[in-house]
Amino acid sequence: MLERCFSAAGFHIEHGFKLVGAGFEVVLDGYDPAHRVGYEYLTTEAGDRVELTPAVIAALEAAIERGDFHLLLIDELEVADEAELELAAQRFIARLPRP
Amino acid sequence: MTGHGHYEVQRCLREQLAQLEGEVAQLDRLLAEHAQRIKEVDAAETQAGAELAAAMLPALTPEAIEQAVRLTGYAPLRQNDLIAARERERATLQTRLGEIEAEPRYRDRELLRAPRIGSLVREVDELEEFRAPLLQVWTLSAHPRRDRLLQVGYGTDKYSVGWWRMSYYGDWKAGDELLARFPKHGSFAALRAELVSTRDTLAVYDTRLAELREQIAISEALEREHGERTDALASLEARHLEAAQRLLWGYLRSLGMADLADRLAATPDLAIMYKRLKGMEAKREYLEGLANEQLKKPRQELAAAIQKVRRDIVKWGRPKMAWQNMPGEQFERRFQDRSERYRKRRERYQQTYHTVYAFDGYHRASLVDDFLWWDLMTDGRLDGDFLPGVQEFYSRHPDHRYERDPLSSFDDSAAAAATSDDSSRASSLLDAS
Repeated sequence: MLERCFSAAGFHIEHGFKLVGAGFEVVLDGYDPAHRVGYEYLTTEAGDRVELTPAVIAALEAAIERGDFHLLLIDELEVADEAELELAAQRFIARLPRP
Repeated sequence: MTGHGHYEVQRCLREQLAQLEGEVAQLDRLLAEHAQRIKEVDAAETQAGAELAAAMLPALTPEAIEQAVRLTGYAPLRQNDLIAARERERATLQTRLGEIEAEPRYRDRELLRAPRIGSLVREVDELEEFRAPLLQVWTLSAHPRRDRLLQVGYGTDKYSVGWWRMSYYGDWKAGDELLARFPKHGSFAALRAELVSTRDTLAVYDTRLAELREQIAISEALEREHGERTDALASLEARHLEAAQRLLWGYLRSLGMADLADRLAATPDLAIMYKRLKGMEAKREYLEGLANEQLKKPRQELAAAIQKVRRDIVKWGRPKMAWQNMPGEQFERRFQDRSERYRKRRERYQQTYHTVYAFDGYHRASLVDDFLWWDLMTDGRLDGDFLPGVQEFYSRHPDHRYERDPLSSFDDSAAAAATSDDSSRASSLLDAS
C-alpha cells in the first residue's frame, strides 16, 4: 500500500535500500534515491527495533530535519488499520516537493 | 440336567430386583420420617432445656445465682462473675453512645442529610447539577487519543511531534475526528481550551463530591452504629441472662439421672422438668439407635443385594448362558418370597419407634442411679439390647431387673407385635446368594 501511494505520486521506490549517514546505517523498506524520499515501517517481527535503536532514530531524525532526505517513520504499534496508514501516507506525500 | 432355564431365572431376577428396590424405597420413606421426628424431638428438648434453665436461674442477680448453684452444684455460675461481665458491656455501650451523640455528624444528622434540604445533600445536588453539562462534554469527547492530544499540546505552539512520524498523522486524524463532534469550534485550539477547562473543573467538582459523600457516609455509619448499640443496650439483660442459662443447661446435659436427686428433692416441679429433659435426651438417643440398627443397616445390606442381582441379570443375559439351568434347590432358595419378612421387620420397627416417640410419662422416672429410660418407655416389654446405651447400662448394672408399673397403660398389643417373629431376626432377610 505504501509503495502504491508513493509510486502514484511519481516516486520510484526501491526496496531494501541501504541508507548510510552520520550515526546511522539502515536498510529501508522503500526509498527513491533520486528524490531522497522513502519510508520505513518498524515491526518487531522484522527485527527493526534491534536495528533502529533510539540512537539511530535520533540520528535519522536529525538528518531529516536538516533536509538531507525525507522519510515517513511508521511504528506498527501506532497503526490502527490500513485506511489510517493510507491517509497518513497521502498527507506526508502532500508535504513533499513534487518529483 | 433338570432345573430352571435362563428365561425363568432372568424373569425371577427382575422380580427380585423390583422387590428389593421397593423395600429400599420403604426404608427411605421411614428414614425421612425419622429425620422429621428427630427435628421435633430436638425442638422439644431445646425447649425443655431452656425452660429448666430459666426456672433454675430466673434472673441474673447475686441471689438468683446463689439459688441456681445450690440447686445444681454448678459453681462456675458464681465464679465467672457474670454480673460484672454484663456491667462491663453496659459501661462500654453507654460510653460509646455518649461519644456518638457528641459527634456533630451524628448530632446534626438531620441538618446535614435530610433529603433535599440537608446541607450536605443540597451541596451534592448542586454540584451534580453543575457537573452534568460538563460531564456531557467530557463524555462526548471520549476518544482513545483525547488525553494524549491534550498532554502533547496538539493545536498549540508546544506541539513538537515531527511530521515524518506516524504519530503526527495519528494526532492529526484524531484531532479532526474530535473537532467534527464539536462543530461550533473552528479549530482544535479552541476545542482544546474547552476540553482542558472541562477536565480541570470536573476534577475540582469530583474531589469536592468525594469529600461530601464521605461525610454523608460517616454520618450514616454513626447513625447505624448508634442504633445497633442502643439495641444492644436494650437487650443487655436478656442476652446475659440467656447466656448464663445456656451455661447452666450445658452443665445439666452432662449430668446423669441421679446426680441432682438430693438437690432437687425439695423442689418437685424442678425435679419433673429435669426428668423431662433427661428423658428427651434418652428418647433422642433411642430413636437414633433404632433408625441405625433397623433402617440404615438393613438398607446397606439391601443395596449390596441389589448390586448382586443386577450383576446376575447381566450374567444370565449373556448368550453363553442361554442353555444354562439353575438347579431346583438353588432356585427355590434364591427366589423365595421375602416380602412378608420385610413387612414384619418394618412393622416391628414402627411399633417400637412409635412406643418410644410417643412416650410422655417423664414424671414417672426415678432419680436413681439404676434407672433405665428404655424400661420406662417400653414398660420393660421390648428388647433394646441392640442399643448401645441399653447395653452400656446393663454392663454397669448386670443385676438390674425392671419392675413393671401395675398402673401402666402400655399397649400390650403393640409390644406383642414388636417382639413377635424374633426368630426371623437371626437369619438374614437379604439372602440373594
